[in-house]
Amino acid sequence: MTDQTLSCQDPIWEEAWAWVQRQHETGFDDASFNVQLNQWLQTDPAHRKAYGKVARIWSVAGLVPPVHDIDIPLPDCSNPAGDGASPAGERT
Amino acid sequence: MYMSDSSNRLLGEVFITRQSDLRAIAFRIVGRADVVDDVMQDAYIKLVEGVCAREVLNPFGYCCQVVRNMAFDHCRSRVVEVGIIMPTLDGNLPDVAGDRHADAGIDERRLLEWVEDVLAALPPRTRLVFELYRLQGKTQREIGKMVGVSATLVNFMIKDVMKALAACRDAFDA
Repeated sequence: MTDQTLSCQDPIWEEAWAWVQRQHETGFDDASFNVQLNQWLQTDPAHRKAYGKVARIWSVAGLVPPVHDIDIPLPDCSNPAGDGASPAGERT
Repeated sequence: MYMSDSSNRLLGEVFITRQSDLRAIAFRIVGRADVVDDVMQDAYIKLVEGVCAREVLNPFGYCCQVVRNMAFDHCRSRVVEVGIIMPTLDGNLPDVAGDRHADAGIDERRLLEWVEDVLAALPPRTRLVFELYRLQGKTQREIGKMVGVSATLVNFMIKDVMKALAACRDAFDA
């Protein structure tokens, strides 16, 4: 799913990264995506394990304070989709 | 860089003072008041005595960032139906539902240090692109316009960061 090796030719690890990145871009409310993700996770315990690790790294990366002065998006109740994003997606 | 009594107190005070704003952020993401309570509690603990207790340039902005991140973690756990997905740093999956924060102490700090080192080593423009992507949720096209580069270059930069972050896998085995 990626054209760049993420770690020592480990296709499951690379796929897990691709899923987490797609989830970041898709958000959490896309039923079709969620079904596909869960199908992949249920195919092999190694998928779950890899996804869990990648999701954890991704989560922790979201805890690092920015070094650039960027605005963290605030809620806008009049426009729940914000920048064209899903309300429950990471693209808010 | 990390916690001092004054910075802990400052983040805690900002969190309490602005909690209605922070709750609104969490509610917009998770959509349920009871889950918002959990998100707020988790975020407060992280900010006051956990891995996020630190000196930051923009305390309210950082509180927003942590609340959003915790809310997204709740959504991620909800979406993934096959049990709790956050493993401990030895790579094992916790046995008990809701246990994903049980290992949020020193091990999470270790992982955070790994991730911070990776991000600190990025070229400044790549770091900016990643922050816009990861923290602001901008699309690659939007980032290209903001930074003044092509969306293709943004895509390559993000792939570079992903590749660098992937090396944090070793933190689980360290």
